[in-house]
Amino acid sequence: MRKPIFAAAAVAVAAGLALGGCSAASPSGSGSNQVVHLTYWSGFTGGDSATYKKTIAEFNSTHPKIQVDFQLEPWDTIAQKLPTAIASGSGPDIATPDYNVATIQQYVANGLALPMTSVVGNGAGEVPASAIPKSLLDSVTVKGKIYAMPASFTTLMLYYNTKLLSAAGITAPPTTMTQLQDDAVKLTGGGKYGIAIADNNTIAQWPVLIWADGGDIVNAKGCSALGDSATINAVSTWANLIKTRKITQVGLSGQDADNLFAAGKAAFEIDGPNAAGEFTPAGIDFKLAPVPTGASGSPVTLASTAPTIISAKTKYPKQAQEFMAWWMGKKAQEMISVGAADGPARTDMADDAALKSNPLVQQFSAQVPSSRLFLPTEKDFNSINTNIFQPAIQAASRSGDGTASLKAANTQLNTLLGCS
Amino acid sequence: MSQFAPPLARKTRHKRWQNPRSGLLFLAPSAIILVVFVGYPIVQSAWMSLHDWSYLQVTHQFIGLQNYIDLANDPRFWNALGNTAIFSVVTVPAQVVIGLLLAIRLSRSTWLSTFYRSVFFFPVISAFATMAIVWKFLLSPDIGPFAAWEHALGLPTVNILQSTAFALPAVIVVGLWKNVGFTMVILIAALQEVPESLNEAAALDGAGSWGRFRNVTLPAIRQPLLFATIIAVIASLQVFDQVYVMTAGGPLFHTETLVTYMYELGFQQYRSGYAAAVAWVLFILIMLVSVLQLRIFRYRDVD
Amino acid sequence: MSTNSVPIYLRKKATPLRLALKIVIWIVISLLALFVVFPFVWMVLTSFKTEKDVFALPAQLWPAHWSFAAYSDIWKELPFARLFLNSVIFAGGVTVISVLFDSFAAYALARLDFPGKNIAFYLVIATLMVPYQITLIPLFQELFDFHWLDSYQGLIVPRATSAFGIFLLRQFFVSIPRDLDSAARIDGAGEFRIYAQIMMPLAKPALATLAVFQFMNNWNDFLWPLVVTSSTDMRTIPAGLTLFGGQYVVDYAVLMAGATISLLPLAIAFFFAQRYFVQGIATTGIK
Repeated sequence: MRKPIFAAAAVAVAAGLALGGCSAASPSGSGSNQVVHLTYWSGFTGGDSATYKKTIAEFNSTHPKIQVDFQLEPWDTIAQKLPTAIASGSGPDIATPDYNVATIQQYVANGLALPMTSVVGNGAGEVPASAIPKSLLDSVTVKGKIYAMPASFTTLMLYYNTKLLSAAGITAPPTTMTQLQDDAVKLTGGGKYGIAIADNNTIAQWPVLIWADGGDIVNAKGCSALGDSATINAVSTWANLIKTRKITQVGLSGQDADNLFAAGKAAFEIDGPNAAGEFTPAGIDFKLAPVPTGASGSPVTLASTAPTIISAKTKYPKQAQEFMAWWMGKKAQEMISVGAADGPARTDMADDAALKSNPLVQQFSAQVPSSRLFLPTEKDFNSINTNIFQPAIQAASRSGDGTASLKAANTQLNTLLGCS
Repeated sequence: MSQFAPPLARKTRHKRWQNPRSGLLFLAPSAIILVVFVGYPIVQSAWMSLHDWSYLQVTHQFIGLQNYIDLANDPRFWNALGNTAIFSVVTVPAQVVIGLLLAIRLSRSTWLSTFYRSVFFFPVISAFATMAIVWKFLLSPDIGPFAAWEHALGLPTVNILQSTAFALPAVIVVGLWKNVGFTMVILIAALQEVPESLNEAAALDGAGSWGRFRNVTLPAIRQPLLFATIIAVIASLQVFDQVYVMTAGGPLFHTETLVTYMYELGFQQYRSGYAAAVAWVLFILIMLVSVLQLRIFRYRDVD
Repeated sequence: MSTNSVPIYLRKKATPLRLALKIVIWIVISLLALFVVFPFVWMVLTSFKTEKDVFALPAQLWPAHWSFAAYSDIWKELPFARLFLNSVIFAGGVTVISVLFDSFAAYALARLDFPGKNIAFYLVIATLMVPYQITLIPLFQELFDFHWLDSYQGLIVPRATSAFGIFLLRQFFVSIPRDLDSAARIDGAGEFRIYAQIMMPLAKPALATLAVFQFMNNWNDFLWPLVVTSSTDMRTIPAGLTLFGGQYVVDYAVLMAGATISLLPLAIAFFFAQRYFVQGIATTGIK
């Protein structure tokens, strides 16, 4: 008989969990000639893992005295065991705890992350602060100290299926949200959806729609903006189209939305560069356009970064920081960008030949100036996103109107944030 | 005698234990392992449930029963409890009844019966977490075959796992798919142990097939039936795998069960203390239900 | 006992109605069986599809182009022999040790008389009811304190006995007539001899069943190996395969290939030793 819940949980897709840990790098001897072994945990288990492995292999081959052991775990597994692992001293030296940068706030608040004192600066081998996008640097800075560096850095663009658009007689991608909505309605029907919008387990797509129309989730004062009329209007406009015109399926996860587009059943999707890696082999003809401008009048898209921290308990803070500084260097950033179509997480690589010749990198990098991170410094990010924001959006999509659910979520969020 | 009766339930007090040393020696390896790796973590979790405990933090504040009081006022907890109850109330009878019907039909050792038995048992040997991914794939409205068939039949495509009406039933059906074979096999064995002579005698007394089933077969397989039922109850109250993989508790918490809620609290929100309180409520619930079942069955035993 | 011959009292006249009913029942059973195997068929066939086929519209059961790319991807990315060895060591080790320990404990609870016995039995039953997830964090901390993370002992020892196994075997031992061991006891046999020479041989079907279940559960389990191990060299097959799903990009063919590979050893064992799976479980369930 099965022991009731023996094997809990999932393999890959959105799943995979666990606690666990590994012994941190152990000194392999004494003396200055010894090789230092660092352990690095990351959740980039998909197609991008090859790029990261290659980049780290490059570091290892150029740094004979520091060897980084790259260990992959599903994101859920890392979320489960990393805090305990670091706190108990059994964790890795370096880790990417999550694909949302806000996650580091919890680690910093509980003293689990090491402040990086010799990564950004003007010293030898360090990265000048001016080379890193300011929003990115701000998101990893707590009380004046830097606690993380980006493992990845991406922006979102509008993917469109060229075949579906031309079949509907649409010759150019939309440049405003109103056009996008009109096109989506026009493209819906016959088993096809105008757009794929994910509302759970996803890179933030709804926040982009809300920002475009001048709404927000948390305002400048650190209180809820879910009850603002701009937010309610933006959500309600989309929700109404979803309910009455069925422009997207309700309840899509990020993976579902990608599948819908990859199956040629959705004409538009707002997504990051790695989705291209799924659409191309699936035989979809797609092109990219900047996210259309909404009622706010200014272009805006999401920037997303997965943070990498150094364990507060590492035995080798110096070597770990040397690795981080190298990671932020031009060589590593070029490798990551070209391999994963991410980033680069530097602003001073416009002239890089390898990047220039990569159209995907070029297009996504061009969005950086108009990009913003989603709740980057909110320590209750997970709670806000999965318990308040997403359920409100899901309820709105099902009811066709966002007023009621957003007002309720507004109260909940203000309570959580300590605003009255 | 009831297989759930405590060992040597004696009324009289012991003067001497007959095998005090060898008994303890035989028990020792298992006892040590269970105490260290099961007992201690359970006690620890009870201790955690009395704290504002986050495993991100180094120190934890003792808050007494506050977590349990919060639970009583937590609508998500009540929703999860309700879903778990629905899941169990539907799953357990369905699993036992379908298992029993299949067992009755397939209990003879013809090649056809043997073949079908193997087929129905096959999901039991597979890893549920993996197969739940396959099911999610099958039910996908975009790339799954069910959607393709719906479309071919001219039916509207339903995103089953994202429908507030169909998600929980789908999770239930997949649970049955995985576990019915287990119940069936236990009951087949039980049926095969029912002496032919009993049936024959009843037949000679003029009992019809329903009469024979009710008066001969059912009483004869009561113990295995109880065993299968209790196991099904415990498993259904702890349902996690397929929910976590297929819906992650969605849409809008319509499939959230006690264990998935506990998991989210503990591992996504890092509220280990509160999660431990949920676990303890579930633990107590399972104990109550199991004891109740034993009582009911044993009560009849006496009749 | 099962028998192929239908007892006389069950032989009925084959009226058309009865025949029709019988046909309907078998059709229903066949349809159910189809429903049961379909996910496996889909899984295996999808593992041979190209990504284009996976996303083909409408979804097709049969691959348009047979591709082994998914399997070669897994082979390239994972040290497969090592994972297989780890799975065998983990599932095999747990099985052997836990069957031994469980049978010790079950023997004590079924046959011996010692202080704390009833409490021990109730505690074993209570352990069955514990939601497993809640023990994870304290358990992880414990394994760390023992320096057992990422090691075979960390994987195996906490699993080296199971409440379910003790319960199952105890039920079996209780059903064995007492005269056998009483006689041996009178002859002056020690408890260990009675356990080893009388109880064990009689309990073979129950032991086989428990072994099958322990092996199956641990082979299929991936949460526990993920908890305990972190280096690729210590992973088991299911835990290793979790490394094939990205957050946003999932190659379904690879995922299905992985699922197929991890099912394969058990499926083969099942086809060759069905008797032990089905009848073994059955035998124990009724005792």
